Amino acid sequence: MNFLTHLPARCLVFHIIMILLAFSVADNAISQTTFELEKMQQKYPDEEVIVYSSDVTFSIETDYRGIDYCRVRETNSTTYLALKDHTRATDVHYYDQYSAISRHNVTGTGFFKNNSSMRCGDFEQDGVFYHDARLCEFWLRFDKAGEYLTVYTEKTYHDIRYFTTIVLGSSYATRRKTVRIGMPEGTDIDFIENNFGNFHITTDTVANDAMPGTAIEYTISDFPGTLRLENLPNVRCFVPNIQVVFSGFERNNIYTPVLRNLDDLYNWYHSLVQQAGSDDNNLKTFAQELTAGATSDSARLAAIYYWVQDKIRYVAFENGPAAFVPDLPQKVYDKKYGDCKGMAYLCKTLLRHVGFDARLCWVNSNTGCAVATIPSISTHNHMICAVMLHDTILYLDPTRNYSSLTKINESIQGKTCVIENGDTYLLKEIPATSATDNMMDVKNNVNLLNDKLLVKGSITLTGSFKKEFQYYLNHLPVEYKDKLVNYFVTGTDNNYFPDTLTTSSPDSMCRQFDISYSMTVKNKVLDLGDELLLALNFYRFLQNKSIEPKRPLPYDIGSRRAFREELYLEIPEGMMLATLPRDVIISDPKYEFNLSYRATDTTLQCRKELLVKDPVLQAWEIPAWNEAITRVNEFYDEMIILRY
Amino acid sequence: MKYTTILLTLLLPLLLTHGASGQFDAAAARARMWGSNDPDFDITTVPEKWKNESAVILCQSVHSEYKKQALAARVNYDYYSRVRIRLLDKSAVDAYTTLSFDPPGSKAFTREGFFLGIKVIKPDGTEREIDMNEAVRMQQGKGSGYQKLAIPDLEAGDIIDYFMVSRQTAFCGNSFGGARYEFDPAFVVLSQEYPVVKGKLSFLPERRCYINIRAVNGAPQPVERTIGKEIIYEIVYGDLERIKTELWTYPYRQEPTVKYQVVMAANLSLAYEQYFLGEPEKMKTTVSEQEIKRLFNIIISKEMSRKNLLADNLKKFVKRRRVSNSDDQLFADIYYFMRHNLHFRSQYFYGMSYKNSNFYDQFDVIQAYSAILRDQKIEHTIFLSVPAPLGTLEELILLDELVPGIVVEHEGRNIFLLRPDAHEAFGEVPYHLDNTPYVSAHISAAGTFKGLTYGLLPPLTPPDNFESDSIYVKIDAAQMDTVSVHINIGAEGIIKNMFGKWMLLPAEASRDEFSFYKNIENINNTELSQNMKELRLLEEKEQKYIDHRKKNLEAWLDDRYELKGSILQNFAIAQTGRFDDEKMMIFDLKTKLPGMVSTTGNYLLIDAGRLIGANIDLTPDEKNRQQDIYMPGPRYVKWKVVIDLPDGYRIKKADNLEYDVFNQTGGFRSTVMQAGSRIIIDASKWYNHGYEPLENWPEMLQFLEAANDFVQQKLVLEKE
Repeated sequence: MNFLTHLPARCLVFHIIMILLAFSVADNAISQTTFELEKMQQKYPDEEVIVYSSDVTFSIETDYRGIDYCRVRETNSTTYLALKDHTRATDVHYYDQYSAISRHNVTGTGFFKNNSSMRCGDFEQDGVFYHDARLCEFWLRFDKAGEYLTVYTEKTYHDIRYFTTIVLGSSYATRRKTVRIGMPEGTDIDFIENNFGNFHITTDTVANDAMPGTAIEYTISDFPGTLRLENLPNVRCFVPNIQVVFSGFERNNIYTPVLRNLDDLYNWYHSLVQQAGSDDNNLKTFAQELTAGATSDSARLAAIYYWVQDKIRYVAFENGPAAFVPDLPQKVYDKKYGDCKGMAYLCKTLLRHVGFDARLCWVNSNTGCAVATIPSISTHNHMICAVMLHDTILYLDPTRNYSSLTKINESIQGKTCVIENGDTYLLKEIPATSATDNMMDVKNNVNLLNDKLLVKGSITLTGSFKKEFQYYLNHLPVEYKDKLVNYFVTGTDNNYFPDTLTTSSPDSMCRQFDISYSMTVKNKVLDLGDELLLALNFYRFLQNKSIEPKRPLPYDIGSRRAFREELYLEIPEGMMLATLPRDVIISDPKYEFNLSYRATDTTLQCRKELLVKDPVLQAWEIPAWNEAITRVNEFYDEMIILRY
Repeated sequence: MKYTTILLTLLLPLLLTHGASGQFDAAAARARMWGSNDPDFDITTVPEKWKNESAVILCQSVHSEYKKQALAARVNYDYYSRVRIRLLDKSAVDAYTTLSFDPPGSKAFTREGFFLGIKVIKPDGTEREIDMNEAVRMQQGKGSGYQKLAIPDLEAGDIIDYFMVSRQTAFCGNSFGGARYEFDPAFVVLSQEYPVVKGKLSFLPERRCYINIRAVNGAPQPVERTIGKEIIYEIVYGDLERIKTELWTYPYRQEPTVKYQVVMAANLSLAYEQYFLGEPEKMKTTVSEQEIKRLFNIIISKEMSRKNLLADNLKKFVKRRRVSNSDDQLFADIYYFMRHNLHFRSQYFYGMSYKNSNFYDQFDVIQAYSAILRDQKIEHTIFLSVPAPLGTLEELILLDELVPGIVVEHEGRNIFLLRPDAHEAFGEVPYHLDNTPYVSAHISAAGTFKGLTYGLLPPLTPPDNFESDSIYVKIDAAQMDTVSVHINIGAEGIIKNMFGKWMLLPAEASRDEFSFYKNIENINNTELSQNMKELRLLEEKEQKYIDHRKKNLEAWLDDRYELKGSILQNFAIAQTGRFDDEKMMIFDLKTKLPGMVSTTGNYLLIDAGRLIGANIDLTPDEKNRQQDIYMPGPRYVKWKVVIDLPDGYRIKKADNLEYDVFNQTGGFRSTVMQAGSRIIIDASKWYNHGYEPLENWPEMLQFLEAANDFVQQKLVLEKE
């Protein structure tokens, strides 16, 4: 007799329900205890979902047939835990033509449906028209706190040169992540550990399970997650990561080099440029026509450099080898668009046609922290043109509009660049100027007329300020151009009424951009009868730029820059200054603020200088910054008292 | 022979519908669009007055074709558009440097397809067609994606000439025994982001397709044109300045606009046709009084009411399930029934629930109201009006322009019954129909009407859209630049509607509704249990919504006080404003506002003006407006700010907070007084009308600037 068929139907259904319930209760109970839900909720009170655990294994497989047959296999098993009800998370894995995701699987108590809860495909990347990077996104849904989902993926890197970086951090707060890298014997590989100092990371060397050799294991605990934070610096500069430098490997007594040193890297770059080909003098006539009227070397350099900036639109293609192989100069010229490589190559070609020793130059343009001599394809991300003059080198970056000949772009200053030199290369440090090179310099003369202030002044922009302003001025539709200038002078404050407003030519290539104005200012004078209170701080650079004090990760203010204002107020006859606000003098290795008032019998001078020397603040530097901003705000808010 | 006949009979529909599908391809699109020899597309010169624009549209045309498929319940709709634009500066070149679009091509085994062609014409006349194969494909997921193309050799001074052809087919529903498809109504503003030298909008409705079309605000009217055997309806326009968007405008009222709708109806039954349709394949440009009468007849038609489930449910409610028996309560009850039925009851399809509001439009609602009123032998007036943002009654051409409603005269007052919003109370004036012209039919107790009447819906007054803010302020002794603020806000009318949309959470509204509605209708246990289940589901997610609302409130406070970093400490909705005896929505919040207090010498300066919140701050351009002013309605806002005087301080200056500016368009008034240890600022601002002609703008400016000036003022306290 079959037990099941013997039971009455209702009873059977009841039992089935109870069994299912038991499983779900057990599941939930497992969730609660296995993942220590309450403890996690207390530890991460602001998080909705965390990475409870992540185990990533990289197995490097080398082959005696050469590097084209070498690969890295990655397995990734990451468990996401919901700490609140009704939350979601997205698990993302990137790949491209040099890698592939071969398998994926999602299990757990949260909600996930194959096909409808994921997609693999292209994605848009700011500043790049097309790139071949793809991603697989897994959209995880949790209805209740305590639910979890484990995403398992397998990925293969077919070209080990593109296996450059292993990231230990995550978008989500991470309780624990373990990365294991297994290498066969005879592997010549270095792991450069970056940003380890600020996090709990342990390192261990273990035997490699898969094959003879060793494995290194890194475990990070309590990474705070980057998802909810804005104004993060370049991820490479603060997220703990391991830069992989694969020099070569030995198999069957054959040593195969990969990228042993900068020489190998340069040789690879050079081979790609050779592969691209070169211009066969088609552009020579054009280059000569372009410089026909120039009577000096600098004029000829400028003619070509400014033409490329102005006429070639920046459209970046970064697919496969195209990420490193420049487009032919003729093609860039014909299309009138290109990316940094194409524009640099065109610039070089045109300059060489008129006799200059122009060369390609590889550099990293991201803020901060790449070490330029590491032989990895992730070391450089930008190409410019270097011109060897007899006593100096000019660094020309035609992707940046409105750059004058001798002005080096902010993003490459202080970086080490690799300049082609035939079969060898030169390693040069691009000079860095100070933050004051990027300056907004304001001069205002103020007179009091009843309850209004009459202002005559000027704003001079240099460096990044100038370039950004000119870019917007030239690239905004016509109905917004005047508004931009107006906004720059008056901000969003409609108490300022410009009477006259003149500017330099919008496409001027001069070192500075000037705006002159006269305006009437309302609602900045309070008449108390026996005294007048004046609000003279029209420009409030960095006002309200305080940062959330408990932020666990660095904050990027934007860029190095300087703001200076000198304001002169003519003190009306019969009036005198009652008090002067206190100076604010703050000096920090990353910023300096100097704000002061000085007075004579007839004139009040307000001088403000705010300098951001390093825009990236570490988490522990934020309280001091906030304190500095508070003092700056107080200076701005304090009014001047004139007494009869 | 027999088999051939059978085969042909079976294949005929396929041939008729798909027979041509292989014939229209990219080459055909190219030939049609660029091979048309239209002299308007040969224009290359930019008029002198526009030489400093970013770009000028030399010519653009959009042609739409509609045709029912023979022997099939499908309608073809095809669009052919072409634009020729001269790019004059870098911003325009940037705009056209890269383009994204659906993958061009024909869909296999169908007539459908999308085709695109682009060419660049240099100032010297050289033309170059862009190779579409250069486009890169962006894959979004399995079987979906789009393409991107970077346009080579494009510079300021070039002309870009591109076309798009879209050929599609829609499956039709069934109406009165025949296929029917109603295309969405369209309102096309002819002015663009760039000036237009010449433009054309044309239509070809064929085989059982009807088109209603009208041009307004100075746009040229459509004319009939014969091309071969086809009759098209065309609007030719030009010399249009670029559109300038200003504050408080309604583009469909103020810019040259063409409104149209196409309906395919295989079998038209005029007796039940709401859509003012004329003759098939012929354009219709006006609506007659006869047609309006017909619409009223449809609304009160017994047959239509029988088919209207909403009317049936309303009848059952009144007859069997109403809690109250009072006649006085009847109007409120049927209103609340309608509100509950539309927004808190659902239908289920394939395991998904959809609120009834998805299935019943405003005409269904008015029909249901009228049916029950007729059933109760209550005289009432059904009116139709066109809301101000859409147009005027004189220029009516589309059914969707109309808002229907009912007004009942009861005990000396007018009771309005319209399609209710989820949170509108019974008896609220229809603020979106302020001072709007209407046409009406008075329905007798017998359920008939004689003629139509025209008039104006009553204008609202400022107190109909009302906000009252009480703001209690304490200066934080520990952090002198910060004030602790307790704000209590009450709102009615459109202002309440604006707040309610984002402040009232679904769970809060449902709790409110379920506890109230059981006093209106006797609900059965099944529905009660369903309500509880729904409420439980909403309450499970409630904390998430509360967290989200807190962020929105802090962002709202930052915006209102023009600062960064407001910290919301408490928020509660004291009254939802969803009921006629409690029409005002009231909410309360506590927050800290940084940066509102500063010191200078012995003075403490409080940004007292800012405590009422930001007021409209007009730019020079906005002050120099060129168009009439259309606002959501007259409104009245008052503020009472009470500031605790800090110990050891007295008032040094407060007279700068006194304003009194008013005129026929509105006003701003404020007073300051000291009462013991408190400083009390009373301020109010009102707009008398929802519409002002441009010549009244200088008067409006007076009180707007006064209010904005007030916001800049500081209260000065001095140390004793």
